[in-house]
Amino acid sequence: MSIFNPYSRNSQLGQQQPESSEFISDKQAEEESRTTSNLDYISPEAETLRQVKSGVSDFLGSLNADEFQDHLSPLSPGIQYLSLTDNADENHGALPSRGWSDDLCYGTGTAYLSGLGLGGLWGFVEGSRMPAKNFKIRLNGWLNAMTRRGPFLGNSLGVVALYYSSFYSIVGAMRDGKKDSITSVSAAGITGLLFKVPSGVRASFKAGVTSSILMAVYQLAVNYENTISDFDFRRIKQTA
Amino acid sequence: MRGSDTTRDPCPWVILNDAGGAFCMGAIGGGVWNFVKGGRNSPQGERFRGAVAAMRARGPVLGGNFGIWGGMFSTFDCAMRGIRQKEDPWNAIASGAITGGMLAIRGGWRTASVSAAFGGILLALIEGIGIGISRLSTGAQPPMAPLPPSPN
Repeated sequence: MSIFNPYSRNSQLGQQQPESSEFISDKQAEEESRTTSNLDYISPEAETLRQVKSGVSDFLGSLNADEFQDHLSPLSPGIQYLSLTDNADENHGALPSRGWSDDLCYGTGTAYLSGLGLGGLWGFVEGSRMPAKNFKIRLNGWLNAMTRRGPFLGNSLGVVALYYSSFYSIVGAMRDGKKDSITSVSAAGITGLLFKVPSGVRASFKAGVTSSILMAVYQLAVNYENTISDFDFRRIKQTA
Repeated sequence: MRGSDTTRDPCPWVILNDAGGAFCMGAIGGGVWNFVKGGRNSPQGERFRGAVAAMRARGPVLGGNFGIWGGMFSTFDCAMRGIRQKEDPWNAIASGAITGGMLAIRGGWRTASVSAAFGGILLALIEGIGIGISRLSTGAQPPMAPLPPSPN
């Protein structure tokens, strides 16, 4: 699971993914696009029906509306839609996850922007603590502190997310596309290891172990059942 | 919104995507660039260390600059779409100009307006190139043959 599991669209990436796209009826497609886009639009059938009913209702009084809908509408059965959301592995949550580039972009973007926001808040607090004679100096203090702390935290978090999402995809690909808790824990470990490499071997190992423990705790907290089944202890014992 | 661009994700979320994509582009590109530059500027025997130090110090900064540009651009683009209820190249050009101006606003009005013009021109170029490529790839319509004269 990627970090943003609770609000990303795939909670079951480890399970098999639909190989071929399935065809669905136009009613379903309409319903699906309405639910995914949250936009209300009049379906072509309904629109035609409304126009026709208001215009030549006397003529149509004799016609059966259901029959009309089945045979005369421009989108009568026979046209089948490709369901785009079927290819996205699961569809709850806002952030799509259709492959490594989605994971990378959304993961990094979320981390970067939230880091920027948190860092800005940190800078704001810091700027408020500084003594200031008048508002102009206070404003300058705020701006200075915020532009120092915001980009620092944002860039660091962004780079961590960049590492994590890349290794998440790489480890997942190396494990034949299995993207479960083990993948995220090992990706987190590699990320910590790599992020702290310049401060020495000891610090690097410490960071790697710490981050993988944190990720394991997070995974346990977020989806307890899947994580337990991912770490199938009996099978590990058998292979050992 | 029927007939809208279906290759991108729906609007509020695409901001995250754009910011992340731009950050990755900047961080990776800036990392490679500063790695090479730091290696070349370091004394013999310290080349690798110097290269890594330069990459760590400057790569994320470029990533951040790119990321904030992409994020703000996408935000303004979404806002433009929402306000104008239209999707055309002017959205992108206007949001490029606003982004450029906003990011340079601490330098004063002069700097900000120069930067805004630069952003607008850049986005106009990008949009123009995109339109040109799509025209080229569609191919010119063959001219229609004239109708044969009527027998009478």
